[in-house]
Amino acid sequence: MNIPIQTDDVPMRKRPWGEVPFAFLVNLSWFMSFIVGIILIPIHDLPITAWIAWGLWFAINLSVTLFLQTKRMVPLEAPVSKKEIQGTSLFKDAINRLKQNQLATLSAGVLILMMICCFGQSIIAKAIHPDIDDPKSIVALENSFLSIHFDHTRLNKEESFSPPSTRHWFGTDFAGRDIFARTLYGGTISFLVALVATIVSLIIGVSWGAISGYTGGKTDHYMMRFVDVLYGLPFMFLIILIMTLVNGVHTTASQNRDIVTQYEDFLAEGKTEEADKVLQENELTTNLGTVKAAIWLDNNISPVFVMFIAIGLVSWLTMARITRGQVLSLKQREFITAAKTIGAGNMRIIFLHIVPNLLGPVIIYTTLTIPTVMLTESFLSFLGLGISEPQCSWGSLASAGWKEINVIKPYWWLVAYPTLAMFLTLFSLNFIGDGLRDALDPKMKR
Amino acid sequence: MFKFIVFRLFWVVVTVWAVSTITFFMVRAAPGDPFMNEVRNLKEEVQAARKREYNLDLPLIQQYGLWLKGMVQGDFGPSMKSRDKTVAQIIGQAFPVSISLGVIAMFFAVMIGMTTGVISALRQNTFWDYGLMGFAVLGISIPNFILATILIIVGVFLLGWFPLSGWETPYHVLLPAFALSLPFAARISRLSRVGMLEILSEDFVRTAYAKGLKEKHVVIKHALKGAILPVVSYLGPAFALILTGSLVIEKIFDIPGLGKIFVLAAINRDYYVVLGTVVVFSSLLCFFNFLVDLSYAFLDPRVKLEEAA
Repeated sequence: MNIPIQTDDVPMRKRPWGEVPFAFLVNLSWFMSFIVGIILIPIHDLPITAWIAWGLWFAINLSVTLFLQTKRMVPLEAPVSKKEIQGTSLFKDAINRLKQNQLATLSAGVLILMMICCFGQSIIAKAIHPDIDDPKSIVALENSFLSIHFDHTRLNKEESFSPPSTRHWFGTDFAGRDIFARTLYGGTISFLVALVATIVSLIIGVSWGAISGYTGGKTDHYMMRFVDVLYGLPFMFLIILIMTLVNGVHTTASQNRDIVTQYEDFLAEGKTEEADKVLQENELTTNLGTVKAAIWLDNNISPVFVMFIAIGLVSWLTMARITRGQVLSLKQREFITAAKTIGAGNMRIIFLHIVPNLLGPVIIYTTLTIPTVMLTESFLSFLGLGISEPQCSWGSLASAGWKEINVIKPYWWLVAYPTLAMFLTLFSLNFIGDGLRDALDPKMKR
Repeated sequence: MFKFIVFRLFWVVVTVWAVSTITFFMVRAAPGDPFMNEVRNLKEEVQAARKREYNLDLPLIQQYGLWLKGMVQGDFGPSMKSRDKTVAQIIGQAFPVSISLGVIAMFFAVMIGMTTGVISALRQNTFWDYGLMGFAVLGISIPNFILATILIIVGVFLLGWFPLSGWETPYHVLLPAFALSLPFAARISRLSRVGMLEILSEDFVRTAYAKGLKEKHVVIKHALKGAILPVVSYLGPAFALILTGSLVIEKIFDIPGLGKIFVLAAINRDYYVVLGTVVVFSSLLCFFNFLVDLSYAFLDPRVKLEEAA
């Protein structure tokens, strides 16, 4: 056995791509260049310089990747840290595992970029058009770059249904509004829906599951029985009923608001006869109370917000089940007994000791709830019960476009771009959820 | 066993009652009434007569009592929009359509989902696994109406294999059922993959391999049960989602099913039709969940029904 020992040659190993520095940025850059390329293709009057710039980007990506490939071989020895060796927590471990998962980090990057674009659009639109939320405000057509590309309320009838061009990157809709601006604006609403509904479902689901699992016995049984029963309900029907109720209130309020203001003005001036006359003319004498209530409701609670809450109210069930399962195993642990022995109350134990330990599964399930919530919203918008004009979301944009196009009018851009945005977001969220599950629960990964 | 069945059937009745009560008061709380769109044409007296005809002039709680009494006797009440039909007739026409759509979609979802899930578990971390799971995430991430549009473009306009819309031949059901089933197929695929992977690492599977059984036998006789269990417990919620998901599909493919009737009735305030559809749907779903629980006990001997009751 004569194995020659090569003293001058250090044993090398090939690092996985995820460990190479800047690998994440390179991945993101590659992905974005493809997305931008897809967006550039349909623009018919694109100057050749844009494609040259894109080609340059592609070349830079390629050269950086090739350069980093040469840096993948590293010496086999464990890197000796100059600092003291530190213990890692469960959380740090999870972060490290997550960093290895390139699909998840890339998805996180895409999601963050998407959010920056969407919320950036609202900031820019607000800056160039301060009273943008007031539907009555009419602004003169400005031809500035920002106004054309970022103001989602900018109308121009002459440009209706124009295909993607350098002037309107994503084309325009029937009123000549820029689809690029509207897609980004719809994104903010979609993210808001996801946020509010998910928080509502989180609060209810986690409290319900934690209390049920911790109390145990008969209470646990009945609380879970209740969840089982709710699982079997046609929730979409209930949401639709809620939305028809809300839309009805909104219509009543907007029809009668002026009349009631007029009536109240007369009353304030002391002209009771004229006030009564206004009511009689509009057939409001009998149901003034209901109309007033409807107006009050409409002024104080926006219909969109009710939808957010309604969706949240129906998506907490799985969260409650997951939480309960975790709590059942957690409550047998020593630190809970310790807390009990020093006399901590039940509520204190649940919310200070048990809930923080639920973070892992809850985060995982939250990232998987958001896509469902967004889909529910688009579903409602498609049925005409969700977000109504002039507001929009990805779902409502896509469904509005879907209703507009047919074989004679193949305006594909009305549907394609909002769908692409929604699709990228949901895709990323699903991958982040999967990545988090693998990172936080290594047993699952085989 | 008997105790369990009686107990669960009792719960089904209680749930349906609770849901219909909530629906009753919610639909009545919405502003407007069934005759609101005819208001311009109907005289005051005619409108009052109409309301008297349907007992709408009584106090709300009395109306509720009357409706519940009719419900118990199996009378769903009259429709206020289609004045020559009763709610039972309307639902009787639409129900078979919705059910056949739902059942066929369910069948597609289970077949596609189980097959892909088992294949990707058996070929874990290979091209097949990544490809199929990528498709599964795709299926979960696309809204149903977009998927249906893509299927229409490909299946109807490009290939010309399917009719566009309507409900005349059994051929008409294929494309809508397929569009409806895909998101659920994706979920079932992921569930059965995880279940299968768990079973494949169990000792008895290793023993089976060690005995020299072929992969085919091991999978079909021993491991497949592991893939079925998580899927079975998902079937209840999935069926609920498929039935409600058909609202959109029915609208796109112009299918005269329950969902379409429900949405129209909710917008037109056709009270008894709304209530009838909700009662039919929720009793159907509760009953289906009951069946799922029952079958769970047969598939997994460790689950004891008496304990659950």
